[in-house]
Amino acid sequence: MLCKSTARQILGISHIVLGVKDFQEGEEFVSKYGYLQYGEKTTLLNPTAKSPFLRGTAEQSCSLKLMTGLSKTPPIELLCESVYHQIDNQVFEAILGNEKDKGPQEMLEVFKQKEPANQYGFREIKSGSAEKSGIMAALVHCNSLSNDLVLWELLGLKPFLIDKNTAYVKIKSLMSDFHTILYFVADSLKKTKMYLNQGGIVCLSFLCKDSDSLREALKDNGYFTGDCFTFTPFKQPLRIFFARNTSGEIYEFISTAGDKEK
Amino acid sequence: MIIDYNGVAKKIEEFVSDGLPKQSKSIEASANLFELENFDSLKIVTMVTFIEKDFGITLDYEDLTEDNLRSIDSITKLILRKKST
Repeated sequence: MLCKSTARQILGISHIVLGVKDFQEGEEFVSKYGYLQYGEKTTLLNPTAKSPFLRGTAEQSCSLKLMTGLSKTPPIELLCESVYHQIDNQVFEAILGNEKDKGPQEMLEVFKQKEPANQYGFREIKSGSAEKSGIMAALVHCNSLSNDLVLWELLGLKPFLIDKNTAYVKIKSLMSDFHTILYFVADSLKKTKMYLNQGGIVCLSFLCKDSDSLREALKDNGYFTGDCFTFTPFKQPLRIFFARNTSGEIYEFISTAGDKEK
Repeated sequence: MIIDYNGVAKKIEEFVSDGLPKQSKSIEASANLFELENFDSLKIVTMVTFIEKDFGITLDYEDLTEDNLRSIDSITKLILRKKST
């Protein structure tokens, strides 16, 4: 049974987290699409709340760069963990492009192209100016479509079924009416448990009203969540937690810290 | 509690202008907030919490559209609409 307290908690998509071995390579890639650095934090000791989402030992640190594009699409966080693992089998993919009028069915066709996604898990719509591109859509390879969709219903977002193996939810940005389409495709071959310290798209981040209460609600509903922690990446203290969905993919939920910052 | 347009608009203006340089503290009710330096997605998250707490309403995901958040005027009207339902 779904817990109603989580409904209406999500306010919009925040950003996509791209795990990179080194910043230079990651920046070269995203700058081709017009992404520029918004801010940077280096050598941050990872909070213990992140440990379950890191492969290997827990004494790791990380550095991050937030890259924003020219379009109103979600920013990309380049995440460089001190201990990095290269993997071949990714749970997430995403589309970079600037055709905002493409419908869910047309966008899905881009994911179905024979050409595989690049090493970061991105595909590209090659029309218009690449420098004005942004993330149009993301895709989750899931073990069980119905199990994966429960989380989204729980978060108050309505999934739309395309066929028995494919569904999507539309998630808006808070700074515009642009909606990122998040597809779920049942794929029994993709059984990879994701970690934050590996290459490619490792996590999708969402803004919510109150991370602490959302975390409790997800935990009550049987989801694996890390503890909430306070983190000040740039100016404002944030309350953050990570959670895993049933296919092993990781989501990050962020709210402003308010009086919880201490 | 009786709330009127001017009272709500004043509170929103105070909230939005917090953190701005002194010379740009006065914001026109119709000014596009998305063009302000400090009006980013985290500011909106904080504003949602502020509005819900201060005005005793719940803002839904569907309420947070570009049209509703564009200006002090549109945010004020959103609050007044939610208060009246």
